[in-house]
Amino acid sequence: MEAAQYIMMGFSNAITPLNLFACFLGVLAGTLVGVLPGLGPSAGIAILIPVTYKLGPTPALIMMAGLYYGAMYGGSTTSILVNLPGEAASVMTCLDGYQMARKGRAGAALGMAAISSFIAGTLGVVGLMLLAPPLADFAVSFGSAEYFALTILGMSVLTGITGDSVIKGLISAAIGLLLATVGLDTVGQGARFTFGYWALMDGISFISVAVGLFAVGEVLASVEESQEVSLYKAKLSGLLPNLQDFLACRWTFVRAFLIGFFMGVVPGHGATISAFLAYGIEKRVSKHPELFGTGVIEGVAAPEGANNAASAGAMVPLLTLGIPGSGATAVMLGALMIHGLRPGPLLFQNNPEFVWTVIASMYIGNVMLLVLNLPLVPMWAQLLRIPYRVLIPLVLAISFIGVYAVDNSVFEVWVTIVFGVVGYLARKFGYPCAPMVMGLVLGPVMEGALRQALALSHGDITVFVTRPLSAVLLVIAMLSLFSPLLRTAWDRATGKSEAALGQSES
Amino acid sequence: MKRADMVSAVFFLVLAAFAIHEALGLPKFESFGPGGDFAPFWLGVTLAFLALLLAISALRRPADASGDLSMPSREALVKIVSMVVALCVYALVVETVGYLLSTFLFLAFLLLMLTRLSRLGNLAIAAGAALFFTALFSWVLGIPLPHGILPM
Repeated sequence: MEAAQYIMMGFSNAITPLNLFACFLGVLAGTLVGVLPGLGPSAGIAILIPVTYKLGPTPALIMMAGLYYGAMYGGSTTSILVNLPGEAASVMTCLDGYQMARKGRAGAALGMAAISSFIAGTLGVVGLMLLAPPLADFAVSFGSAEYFALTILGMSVLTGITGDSVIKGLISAAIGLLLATVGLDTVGQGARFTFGYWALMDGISFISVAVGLFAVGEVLASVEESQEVSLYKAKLSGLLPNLQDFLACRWTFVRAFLIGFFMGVVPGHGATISAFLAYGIEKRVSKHPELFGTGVIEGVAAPEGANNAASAGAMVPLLTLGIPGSGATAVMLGALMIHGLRPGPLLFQNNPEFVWTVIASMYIGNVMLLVLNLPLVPMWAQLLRIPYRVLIPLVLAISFIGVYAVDNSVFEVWVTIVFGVVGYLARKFGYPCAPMVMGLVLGPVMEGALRQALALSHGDITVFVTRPLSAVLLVIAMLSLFSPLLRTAWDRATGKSEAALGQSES
Repeated sequence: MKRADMVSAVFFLVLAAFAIHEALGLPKFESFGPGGDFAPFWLGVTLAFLALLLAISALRRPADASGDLSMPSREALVKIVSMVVALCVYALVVETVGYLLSTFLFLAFLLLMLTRLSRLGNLAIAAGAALFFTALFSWVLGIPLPHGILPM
């Protein structure tokens, strides 16, 4: 069946009432998560998982994906009106968005953020539709050695760029992988780290850990921060940018899509870095770079378009390789496994209906978000008036019931409380949480592939470097892991050369 | 952060030693390849190595090189500890007292502690949210919640 037929099939499934409702709830929750500072998409998706239990895997992923890209839309509202990013990917939108609001153009900034998100996000879904099938076809030939190398690549890329310290990222990942070994050994069937406790036989539930680290940990940390929001009293009429704005941004949309999508495809780069890069490139190619930061509309369109295209791009490695590129997609991967699906190359072959329905729903979700974000912006802005401290107990309560619903077990709640404290301490001590969740999710896959590859090679560890594709993936993994160190060395070298030049000139 | 990194490095070294010790008691080989000890043992070794690297990098760093660990204020610390204790009490009593009532009490306690809203306002929010969560999870999603002392 051709891609066109598949996408038609996807659309016919996506417009069923249940899938449309799941999509609407997802984008609505995503906008809410994006608008409210202090709660990111990873926490939002983790909290949403129990709500999706009764739904099948298709509406579940439609809802979670909707929340993911919906949060990118919503994040711009606080950036523009409060100069406070709703989530990390909207940091760059503050620079020009807030300045536009101060100049009385808040409506145009919010409108352009929604329109740019829609255009680049929709183009991102087209990119996903075109890139994912051939990549999945290519990856079908992967053996266990390549799978192991692939999981190493996914973890190393995410570990290498989250947080300030590569060592701390690696420690977080190692803890996640160790946690994944708790319970029955899926290969040999022996119990590990269970200490005779039956509740640990099934392993540590990733939902309990993810909700603890992302939701409870984030909420505990937020108590220390001042959450007093002073909303800029902006005029929100005239949400459609004028023709001049559109003309100024016509190539910005394309650049934002290209940067965002391809940065999203590379695991670990995601929405935040693509927004930074899109803003930087927009400024560089602009005829008036000196005006950036003073309230130019391209400064809003570029990061907002890029972060949305990146969220579509991030679905490519998740669906085709089973490699999540961010904390949010790691949570989605774990959720899919709970629903009995194993994201990876075979997903496109074995579950085409599922994959194409989710892809089709992303087109619909982008249209819903445009509708939600243009006329309803004043309503989202009003939400910012709710004191954040009212939300803290509500987030804790919904986290509690969410993990309790996993097995109707208070044990899961205790795991969440423990990891909530771990998440809080991790933030204080500078350890990123995403690699830990990723390690917990990918650990069984990684260990299974490792042991299978070693068994097939009769214990010959060189199998990972003698198979060309595996070797290439491992080399890329090492390069990405040590890229911050290489960058530091490069900066030092170039810094020294500039200093030397300066000395010679003086 | 130097002292914090040293403390966490020691913690991770102890954790790694524990993982290695436990892994040594697991089967070494299965009939088809490496045994159940393989991953925990090597992960323990890796964690120990990383913890040593962290300790060395902390020792080589000047005391104020990357900022100190920001300690919460006394007021924030009291609130954080109260929230964790409230969660623990909530987990302890939810099956006995029931979901609806324990959720209301949990929310009311935290709202009264954290917000500056009126007492009545906080209690109304707590009651509304407890009812909403019960309706969503129990009635809409069909997840059985503990009734406790309330007839349902």
